[in-house]
Amino acid sequence: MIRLVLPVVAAAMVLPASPALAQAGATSSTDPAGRLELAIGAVWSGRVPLGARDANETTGSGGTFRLFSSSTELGSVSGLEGHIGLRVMSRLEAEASGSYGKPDMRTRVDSDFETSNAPLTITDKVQQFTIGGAALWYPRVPRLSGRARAFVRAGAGYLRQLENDGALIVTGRTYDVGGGLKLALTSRQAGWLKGIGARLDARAIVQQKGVIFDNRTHVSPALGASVYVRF
Amino acid sequence: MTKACATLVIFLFAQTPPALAYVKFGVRIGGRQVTLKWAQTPVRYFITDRSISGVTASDLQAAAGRAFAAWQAVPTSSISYQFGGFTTARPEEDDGLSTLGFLDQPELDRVLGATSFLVDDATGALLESDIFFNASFAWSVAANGEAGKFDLESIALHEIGHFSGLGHSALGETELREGGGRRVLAAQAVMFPIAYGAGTTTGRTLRADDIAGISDLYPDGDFTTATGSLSGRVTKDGQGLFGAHIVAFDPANGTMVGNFALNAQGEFSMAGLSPGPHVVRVEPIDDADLDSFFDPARTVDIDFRVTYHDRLVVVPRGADSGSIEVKVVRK
Repeated sequence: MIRLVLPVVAAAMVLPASPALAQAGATSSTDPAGRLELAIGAVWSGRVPLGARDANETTGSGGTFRLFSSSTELGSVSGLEGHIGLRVMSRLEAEASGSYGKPDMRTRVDSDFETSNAPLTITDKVQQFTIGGAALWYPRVPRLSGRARAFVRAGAGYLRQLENDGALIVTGRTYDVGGGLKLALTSRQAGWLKGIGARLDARAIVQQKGVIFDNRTHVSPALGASVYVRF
Repeated sequence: MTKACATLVIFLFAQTPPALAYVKFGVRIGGRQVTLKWAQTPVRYFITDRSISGVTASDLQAAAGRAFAAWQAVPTSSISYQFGGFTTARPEEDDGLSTLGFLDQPELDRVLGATSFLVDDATGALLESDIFFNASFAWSVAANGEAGKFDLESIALHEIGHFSGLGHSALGETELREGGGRRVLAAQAVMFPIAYGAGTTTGRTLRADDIAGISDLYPDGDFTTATGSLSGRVTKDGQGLFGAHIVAFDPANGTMVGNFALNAQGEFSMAGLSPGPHVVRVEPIDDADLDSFFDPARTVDIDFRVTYHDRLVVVPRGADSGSIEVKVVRK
């Protein structure tokens, strides 16, 4: 599904202006037609280091003896995401978002006291769902064309991760800040469909709990590309 | 009634089922395997009224009391103990009293202590368990230990694990001594069969493996719902491998819990694991004598390489991981 979505988004970005686009310029860049926006697309999330631990035994003097070492990460992953936005002010939208991905959890085992088989990497799949809310603010960016709108975004979400196909469910929180660009491909004042466009996002995602091993927060990058329709 | 001597040699019976088993004592009663455990708690114990050089009976009672308290303090285990008083009875007497005390056993020049059991051979009920500490060694009850003397509390902690029904753990590394025997490099279980050297008190702390074992034997509180289990089999050339040592390592908290493949199919199971992904490592038993763990009549295959399972194994909360297979290859 991801491979299908990405080309659609890319194609949407380079499409020549259709006849309907002729109306785009008639709409103020700060006040697009329609109040409700639905978007669906692909998202890529960067790797999240989960922590490193040694398999230690205790020596007679109370010191540690390392049997082997380990470090674990949640690998980068491509997935799906969707947004439902509602314009609440001329430059402000409230947005509900959700995403799904299936990253690898990878543990690298190294420095085994008894074998040269290590280092090796041991993996498992994690299903990851997020739902959350965000605020989008559209600042004035004079050099953008009338069809393009830049935005900044700040949001928070609920994270649900399923390990081993749901054998274990863990939850956590996410916070994100970032920004992006929306490009209106069609826009009109009349009719129920007010416009179609493409959206690019770049975010820094702060994750707490979930499959993370420690109590610290972990930051990872995320990039999104989606197609939206406005009503 | 039968006196089943356990000393430091813990025999696992050939057909021990692997169901959520740690290395426990077992007896065969009427063709069925019965896990050796106390049916009623608190378990009353007595201290032999005998002092040795540097250690009075009261010192022994205090050290043993701290060791009993450490096992009793495990929050996920229900076992409890009660000091019954001093006695003139000696350990290893079949008198219905579970007794701890010193015995002169100079011929046992590598045995610091031993635990024995009196079992009803009709029902398998555990009637009595005695612990002796070998008076031929120099003992210490000093808070920080004493050079050249073995820490009584540490050895008592190990023996009380046996007293409660636990067998040996293989979570430790050793090296051979020139004059024979083994020296412990490190261990991560009080129930490792070989003690740290004299002068250290490191053995006074229960580890995750000990806690999982005692909790599996006497589960209490939310043990069965808050923890999970991991099971599977170890194979070599397509055949089950008896006696392989399996370690489940939790990369989230660094704890290790171990167990053995306990039947001819190579099956194993470990309970009391923290929910989450685990690294599974399989190794041959090469850090202690095999008869520390198994009946010498059993053939234990140690001709294989240390092997990691190729996937993280997720332990669910209150349930089992589902069976995995770890394939090992010859050295």
